[in-house]
Amino acid sequence: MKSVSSFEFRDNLSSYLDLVEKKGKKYTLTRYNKPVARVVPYYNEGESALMLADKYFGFFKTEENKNESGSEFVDKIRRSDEALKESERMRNWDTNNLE
Amino acid sequence: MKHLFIDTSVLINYTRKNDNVLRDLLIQQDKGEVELFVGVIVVTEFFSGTEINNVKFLLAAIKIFQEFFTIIEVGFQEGMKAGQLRRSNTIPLTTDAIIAATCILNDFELVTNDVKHFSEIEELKLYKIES
Repeated sequence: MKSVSSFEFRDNLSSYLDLVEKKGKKYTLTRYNKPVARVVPYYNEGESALMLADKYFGFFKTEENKNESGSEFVDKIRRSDEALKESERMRNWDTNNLE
Repeated sequence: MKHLFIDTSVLINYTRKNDNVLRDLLIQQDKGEVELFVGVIVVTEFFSGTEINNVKFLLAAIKIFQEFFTIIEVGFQEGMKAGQLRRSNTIPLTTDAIIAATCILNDFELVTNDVKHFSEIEELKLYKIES
């Protein structure tokens, strides 16, 4: 968790609140280099860290994708035949091609 | 605090409940033990899933990136480093090379289910996923 002085936080309050709200950033506020408070994103009442972690756990599982692992998904998207062919072309390319 | 870069495979496994890796890391992040990052390639790949055509999943996907991660910007330095990795033939694909370069230049550990694709890069720190 990043530490920020209370003076720095006060002078840039709006920017810091944007980072907390939109990016989930957390800050420890310090006064004269001593930690005095934490600023963390607001969760709805009763929404603990565990609830947040569970919020989208399995949310995207469907009949169509239930048997596909993360690695298989990445192989399909990132390591398509076309990408692998391009990679092979790069491997076979050498400086002699410049002559 | 450890800075961890989450690869697409780990995010997909979380959203499909295939394993607990990212779920556990989210709890650790809340305790201030780790900070989780992703880059534009992970965002692009995640949004390539056909589920995203459904507005319910689209909105959830946006929330996931807003609530869970710091999005790391990739620029010229990362491009140069990725090019160097490709020239050295330690990593064949541009997308993998950009992810590796982002991790190396920002001192992130890479959390991925595809360790074999990154294992030849000595400079890259790979997060050990407990099985």
